[in-house]
Amino acid sequence: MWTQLLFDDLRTTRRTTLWWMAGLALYVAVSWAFYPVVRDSPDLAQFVERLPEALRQTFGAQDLVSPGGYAWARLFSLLLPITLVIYSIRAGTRAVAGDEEQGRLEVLLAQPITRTELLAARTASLAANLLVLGVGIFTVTALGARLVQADLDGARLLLATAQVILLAWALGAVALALGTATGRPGLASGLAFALTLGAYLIHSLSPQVPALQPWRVVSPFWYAVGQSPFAGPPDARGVGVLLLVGVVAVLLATPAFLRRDIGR
Amino acid sequence: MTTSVIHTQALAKLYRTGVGLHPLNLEIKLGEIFGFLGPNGAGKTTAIRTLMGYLRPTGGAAQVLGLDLARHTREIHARVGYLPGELRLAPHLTAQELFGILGRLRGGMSGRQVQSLTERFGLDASRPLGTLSKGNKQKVGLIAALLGQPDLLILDEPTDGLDPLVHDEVLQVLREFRTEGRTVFLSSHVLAEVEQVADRVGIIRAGRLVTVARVADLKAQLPHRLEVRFAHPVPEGVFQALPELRDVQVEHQTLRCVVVGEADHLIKTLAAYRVLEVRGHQPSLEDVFLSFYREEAHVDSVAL
Ligand SMILES: Nc1ncnc2c1ncn2[C@@H]1O[C@H](COP(=O)(O)OP(=O)(O)OP(=O)(O)O)[C@@H](O)[C@H]1O
Ligand SMILES: [Mg+2]
Repeated sequence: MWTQLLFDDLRTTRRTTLWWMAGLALYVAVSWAFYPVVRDSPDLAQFVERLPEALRQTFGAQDLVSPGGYAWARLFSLLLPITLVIYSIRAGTRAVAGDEEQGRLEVLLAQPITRTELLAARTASLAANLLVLGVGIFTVTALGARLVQADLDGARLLLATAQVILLAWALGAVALALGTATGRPGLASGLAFALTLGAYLIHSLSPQVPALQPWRVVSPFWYAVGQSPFAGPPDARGVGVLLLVGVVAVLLATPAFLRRDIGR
Repeated sequence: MTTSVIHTQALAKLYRTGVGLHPLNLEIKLGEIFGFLGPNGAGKTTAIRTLMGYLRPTGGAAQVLGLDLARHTREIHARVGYLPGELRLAPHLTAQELFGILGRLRGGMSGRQVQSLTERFGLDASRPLGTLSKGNKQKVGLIAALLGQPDLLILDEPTDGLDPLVHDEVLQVLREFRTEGRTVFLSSHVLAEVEQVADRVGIIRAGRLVTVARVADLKAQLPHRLEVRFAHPVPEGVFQALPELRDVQVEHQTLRCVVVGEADHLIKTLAAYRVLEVRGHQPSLEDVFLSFYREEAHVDSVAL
């Protein structure tokens, strides 16, 4: 029965997801369109070489010229993950608490379905939408790279995509869990965004602030964009951690959802 | 085989502010239409949403269709049609799509039933729900509740926003529903409609059930206003002495009064005079209702 709920929710959310997909694809495509200019400009390469090491690290700009370095700096180190996190927190908030506040769960829950099934369907729907975005980003990035003759390693691109998608999953699932446990969409998205900003702050400051170094492992950003998957030995462990964080968050919220009143 | 379709034992839902639903003992029988009446904020929606499993009770227990509310919500919902008091529908769906979704969740619905109901209520099922008027949305909600032949209908103010024609059609549908041996539990402030369809009514005020009675019994308890015209002037004192008369007024040859309870004394007293005409006013349930709404929960305090 919950698969039926999942299909219905996918139908409701597909238009939103496709618009976000269009925006992301456009950004990726335009980024690749300018790649030849960057690659063929010796001044820029030299300019980056001369930047202080700390600055280069902060902006993920150690290497702007190789295809992997360009993809990392332009797409996967900051802008894609942030955009995906925004999408995911919004979608996760709407999934239960948002619909509930709008009174949309009232007729739905009168059908022969349990709250657990509803939660499972809405969680799976968030995951499925992110998967669609992931497939889209992977495809457009690979295609774009090929069109400008940039030789991007497929496996590394896959890992990079998985990392940013799972970062979005983890934080979106936290929003979904908070909304599910409390029924308050404002609280859910507010807290989830605050958490995101805090996590990003730890992540971005820890290279320069020694006191923050030990804390970077609590930031989901560490597992998603701690280091470039396009350089050095690939490490897929972060992906597993992020997947788990999301699942555990939703599981933790379930008992509270079963206990509380729906729609106040 | 149980004949009670809803059975509550001290079922309570009290909010932290102390308002809500005080322990409720209620039994709704198979095949009846039960009207749940009360002023704004009385606790009708709270009671209904607790019975639907949306609100977790703060005390007591309830069985719906013989199934325990706390444990069998899914089985109960499979056999209950529900119309929320505040209906909110996804604006981009059409009624047809919504019925499809709900039908699939219920494991199939008959297209013919949807067709016949949309025709009866005069609903255009192909328009996005967001573009429908309030009354038309309400029709969508009602049809959604009736989908898949439920054994019990729980309707929170079903006729809210309907025009008189559709209103009557809805009441007719409910009567037919009862004829098939199914049960209806509906809330309302509109007494006229409850009077038209309900077998029994429960009146709730400030979260407490004040009375449960058959509509016919409630009417029988009603004080009758009587006007008697005599052939000759009559002494006022004779009628003022009768304990079951209220508001006694005698003007020339006419007596106006309110009869509460038995009419025996009055008839015997009247027999001593030549009576030209007796006129009684149809008792109105509205008056009972208002008396329960106000402070004293006594029918005989109704002033007519
Ligand atoms: N979540 C809540 N927290 C606190 N009090 C509440 C809550 N929901 C409802 N109430 C209160 O409970 C009481 C009963 O409300 P309810 O909605 O059940 O009334 P009602 O009989 O359905 O009224 P109406 O005829 O206006 O629909 C009201 O005093 C209301 O203010
Ligand atoms: Mg109400």
